[in-house]
Amino acid sequence: MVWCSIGGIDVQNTNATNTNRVLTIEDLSVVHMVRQPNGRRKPFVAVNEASLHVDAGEIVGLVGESGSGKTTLSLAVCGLGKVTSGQLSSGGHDFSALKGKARRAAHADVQMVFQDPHGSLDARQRVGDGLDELRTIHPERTKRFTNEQLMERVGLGPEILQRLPSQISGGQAQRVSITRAMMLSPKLLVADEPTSGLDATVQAQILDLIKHFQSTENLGVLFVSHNLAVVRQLCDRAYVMKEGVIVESGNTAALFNEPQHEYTRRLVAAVPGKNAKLAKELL
Amino acid sequence: MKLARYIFRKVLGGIVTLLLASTIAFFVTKAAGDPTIQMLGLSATPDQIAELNAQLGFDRSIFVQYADFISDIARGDLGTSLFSGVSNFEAITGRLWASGQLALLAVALGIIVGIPVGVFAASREGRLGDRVASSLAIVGQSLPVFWLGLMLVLLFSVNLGWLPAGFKGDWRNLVLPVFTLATIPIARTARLTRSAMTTTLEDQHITAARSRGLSGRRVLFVHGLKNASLPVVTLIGLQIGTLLSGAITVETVFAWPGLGTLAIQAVNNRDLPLVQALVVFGALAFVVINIAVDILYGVLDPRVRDSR
Repeated sequence: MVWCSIGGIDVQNTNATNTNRVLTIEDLSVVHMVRQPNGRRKPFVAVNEASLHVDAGEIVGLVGESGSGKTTLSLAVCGLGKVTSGQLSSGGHDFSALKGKARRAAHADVQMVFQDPHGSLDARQRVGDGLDELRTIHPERTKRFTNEQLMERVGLGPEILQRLPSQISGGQAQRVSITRAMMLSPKLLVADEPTSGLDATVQAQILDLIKHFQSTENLGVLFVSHNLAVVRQLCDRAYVMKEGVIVESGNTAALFNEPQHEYTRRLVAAVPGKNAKLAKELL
Repeated sequence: MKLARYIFRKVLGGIVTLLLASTIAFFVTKAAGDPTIQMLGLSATPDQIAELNAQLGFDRSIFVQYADFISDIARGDLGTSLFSGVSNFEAITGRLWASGQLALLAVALGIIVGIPVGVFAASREGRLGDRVASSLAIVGQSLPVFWLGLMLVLLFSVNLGWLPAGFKGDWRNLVLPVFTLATIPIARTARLTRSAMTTTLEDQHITAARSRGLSGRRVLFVHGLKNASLPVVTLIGLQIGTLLSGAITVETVFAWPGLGTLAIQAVNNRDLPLVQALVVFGALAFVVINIAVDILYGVLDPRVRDSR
């Protein structure tokens, strides 16, 4: 394996081919033009030359405070956000080179679970209709399970299929979201703060579910969170992001026991002991 | 059962609205002055005026007249025109189709043109296409209708001679008044669709739909427009109500024999019962359309249906 150092941080050189790699990001930058109060547009660097990778079957954390560029990065990974420069291959696809049908088909390989469980479902669509809609769009990829089996896979009863998002709980909605993502048999799942809107017990159940799919489906997971305690319990490796820059990365235990970067140290110090303990117990 | 109760509640509310509108129509027209002087001319003697007032029942206490007016409406009797002696109900129904034609065609254009323009603008928020569409919509909404009507007559009737300048006739007579009348529904529908859509398109479920590989068109029209449709449906309903009760300016410009010109004639003739009847009819049109819109809500949004 080849390693290089960017800004004093060791980053694995992703030129090394790895057939199990489901996400490769190299020197990715995302620059938004932001309109200022005086009407002029000024470039804002949301992600600054970030490099990271995720292999099949591993859960990788992406940690940082809100506004650190995590969500911008996750959207780019899913082929939904813009990429200003750098290389990005997610689920084996370079979304910037894909258009139309091929691009839509490629989305199935990289699925996302969102922060707001109810918000990520169309309020006008019954759960079952939402699943059927995906079947018409990806007929080949959705043959594996029936709707009832899909529900069962995430611990929900078939009666949920008839419900509207407003008629199910946050935890149930997040399970529906996960089953919608997983029914396409993706190679990579981007989970953007998937538990932050849920109470502790439900949080633990959702994390278990993600872990379950990671191991049974050999799924690569990019787990985006500001919650260090959860990342520590769930992830094999993690990246720490600050103001668009990945400042530190490595094995989760090492990262949190001996943080090198000042920012990581502050993040670790900010974890309330009780919270960390609770997270440990729940997991 | 739930639905029946829901409709019953809406109808009850509609009756209250109608009662209030009738009350206002009655007292405001009463405050507008004595119609008998107008009818008999300035040379009329006080005796003649008193006689006519007695004949028309205007000498009774205003509350008795009011009670009479309301009970007549309750029985479906809209009174008789002072000027023509024709029943107001007949006068209104006789003109209804002329106004209805204009209103329905104008609103149909508003839907057919306004919604796609609004969706288009929202999907290109902040970019050139959006700016052009939004600017045109503002122009469309702020152009004075009488001016636009006259300009169109000048261009297409006077200069080019392609279309008739007014009056009712075949479909060619409809073109200019409908187009003139439609500018406002088109512009309003486009602007409201755009603003409702831009809000909806920021929702997480839209990002989620894209991430699942749905086509841009499907995301826009199925998940976007459906969720943005409630305010647009309300607006369309209100516009039908407004235009149905008479597009006074446009009907006047094009000498269109609809409810708008009837209202102008009634006011000019101090034909108070007809003015009152037109106001009550306008209120009725609004109430009926509002109830229809409320029922449509339930069809469009299952959340509304389930919360009934």
